[in-house]
Amino acid sequence: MNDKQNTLSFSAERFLDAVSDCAFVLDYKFNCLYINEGALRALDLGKKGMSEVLGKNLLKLKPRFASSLLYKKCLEAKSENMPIVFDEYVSHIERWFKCRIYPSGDMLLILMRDNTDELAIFSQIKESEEYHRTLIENVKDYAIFVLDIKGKIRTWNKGAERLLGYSAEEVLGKTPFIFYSKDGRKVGMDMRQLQQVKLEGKFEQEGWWVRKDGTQFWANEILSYFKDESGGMKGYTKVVRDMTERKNTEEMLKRYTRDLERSTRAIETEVAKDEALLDSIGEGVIATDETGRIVVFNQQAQSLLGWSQEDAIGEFYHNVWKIEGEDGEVISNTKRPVAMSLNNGKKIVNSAYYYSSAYRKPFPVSMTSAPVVLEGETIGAVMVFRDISKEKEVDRAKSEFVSLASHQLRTPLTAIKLFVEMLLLSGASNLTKEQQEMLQSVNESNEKMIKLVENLLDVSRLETGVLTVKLEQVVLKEFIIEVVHELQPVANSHKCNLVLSLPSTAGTKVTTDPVLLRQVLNNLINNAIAYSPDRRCNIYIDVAVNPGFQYQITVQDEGIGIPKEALPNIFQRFYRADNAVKARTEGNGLGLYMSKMMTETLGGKITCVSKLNIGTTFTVTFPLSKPRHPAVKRRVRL
Amino acid sequence: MNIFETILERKKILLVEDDLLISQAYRFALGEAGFDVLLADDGKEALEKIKAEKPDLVLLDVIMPLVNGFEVLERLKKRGMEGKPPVIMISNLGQAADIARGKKLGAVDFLVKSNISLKSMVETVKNFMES
Repeated sequence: MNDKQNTLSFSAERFLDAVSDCAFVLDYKFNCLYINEGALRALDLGKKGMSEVLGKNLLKLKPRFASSLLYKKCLEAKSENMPIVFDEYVSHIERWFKCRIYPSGDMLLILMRDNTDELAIFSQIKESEEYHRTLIENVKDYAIFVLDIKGKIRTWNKGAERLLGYSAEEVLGKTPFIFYSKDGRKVGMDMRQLQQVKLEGKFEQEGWWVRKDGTQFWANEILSYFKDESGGMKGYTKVVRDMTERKNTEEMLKRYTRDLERSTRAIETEVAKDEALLDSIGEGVIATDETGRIVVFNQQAQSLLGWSQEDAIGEFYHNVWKIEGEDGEVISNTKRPVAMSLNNGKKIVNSAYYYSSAYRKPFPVSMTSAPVVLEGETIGAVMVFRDISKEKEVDRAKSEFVSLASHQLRTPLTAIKLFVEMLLLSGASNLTKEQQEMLQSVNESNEKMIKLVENLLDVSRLETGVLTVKLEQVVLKEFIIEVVHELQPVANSHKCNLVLSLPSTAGTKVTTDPVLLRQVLNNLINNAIAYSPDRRCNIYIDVAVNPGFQYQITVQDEGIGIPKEALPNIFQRFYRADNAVKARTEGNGLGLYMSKMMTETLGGKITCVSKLNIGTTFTVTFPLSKPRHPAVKRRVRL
Repeated sequence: MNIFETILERKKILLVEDDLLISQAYRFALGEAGFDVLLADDGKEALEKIKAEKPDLVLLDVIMPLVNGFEVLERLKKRGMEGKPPVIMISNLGQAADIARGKKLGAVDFLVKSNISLKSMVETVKNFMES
């Protein structure tokens, strides 16, 4: 044994110490032939000196050795006569050793290297690798795969499988080119991507990708590279995310935004159109909310009232303009048309008001006010008005012209009338009977001319609407009696009998224009007289009152009547029925025409029933209270 | 009553009428009826003669040069001479509105010339003078 022990030269010892932490040599009986310090420590023999161990049997020295892995491995190496390498944990010093057993002849050389730290690092790396691998494998929302240096797919995770529908076997070794949609595919694009990554370190883009089943998704892909320990390019990693949902959301958002913009624009256009429309019309348009605050005030309203839109909007309407009647009396707030529309839902039409504001003197207007009703509720009022100063002026001028023309026509006629009268009066004794008769004819014709001029004036006033209606309250009974009384002399001269019958209700008051009504009745009764033969004819004038509603005046004669075919035309201008002309009765064909117009101006109706040679009945019917639109002017085309 | 007294008693009427023929006829008829007739053919002259001659009655036309009949009435009213002398309007303006305007300005009557004979006109004047 000692020989053998001695066979290990000094240099050999040094060598063993250098390549391993522990080194010892055993014979097949486990007698220790050589042992170094490290081995003593590892075998827990440190307390004993080297001399105490050398040449001794290890099994005896350290009985626990028999149960160690090292012992088993030594037996194994001995029986197989093959070197064995294994790891062993030495618990009492808590170290791992890489053990190598070399059988050699009848000896075993055992070298142990402490690789505890190495193992720790390795296990850490392994753990970390496992962790990342698991992570990557199991990431489902991302397709993560590795490309080799040539751009071929090397790994394929579950996310990639899920996202693209390909299994690992189907894609490994291929390039990601196949994943791009037809539109996105460009020759050499994958290579260019790799190139860019090399230059810039990273490449990112979004685009349509295609799954195995052909469906598409919007993908965000990030390509980067990794290097080996020496810094050489080793491959690339590609991370792909399905952005379809985000893309859809974005698209939807875009669409909503676009729709919103479009509808906003539509509304703006609509509003602009309305404003342009409101501003371009010639009438002032003002709208209020239900409390009477102004919400619309168009261009024309601004120029008519002198208020700016900014100032007027939000202001109460009654603070912006005032209303006066034709007599200059201020209309109180509660009686103003807008108030009536707001409070009573009434539509008001009026041409007899004067508007004024802080910036304008009163001017005549024609206005309409109407409630704005939404689902049965009044939510505001709209008032449309226009300045009628010019029309009033034109009307006035027209009226003046007509009356002046009529005056001028009548002046020479008057002179003729007066001189004929003078001749007849003073020169009666010097004139022959024949001459007197001639003068009488001149006089009659002249009188007709005067009457015609007068009627033409009336017709002109009625037709041009210059005629002003002045409403008054009159007691019907008194009024009719007066009219009939005035006509009595004419009736007498024609030997006609005027029969007036008044019911007790005729004592009522009616609202009318007495001048117009008188003219209508005069015309009707004069006609009845004129077309009655001079033989004690009766003319019946009947009055009927429907209390609270209307009244009727009937003029019935026993005269020549109106032929059936002429009846539809009798209210036409200058129309005269054949029999009337033949009967040589006087008339210019204006009486009934004017009567109809005046009756209608008063809100009434005129009707006629007649039988040839039996008689004619005219009936006029009027409302008892105020005629509906007394101020509305009639326009008749000539 | 001798002729002299009769002349002194004669009432003075100012006839204001711009139409020569009508003026002539009225002057003739009123003269025949025993009135003293003064003439004026526009409103300005009428106002001067009313002041200077103090007529018992004025027959006043409406449509005249310079100052019209209504304006004459207005000026008389302003001078506090409403009804002194009394004024009867004579005009061919026969509308109710014209008549109402004349009466409102103080005219005692309104005669529409084309509708009234000389005889009736003289009757009206006489009736007024007697009352």
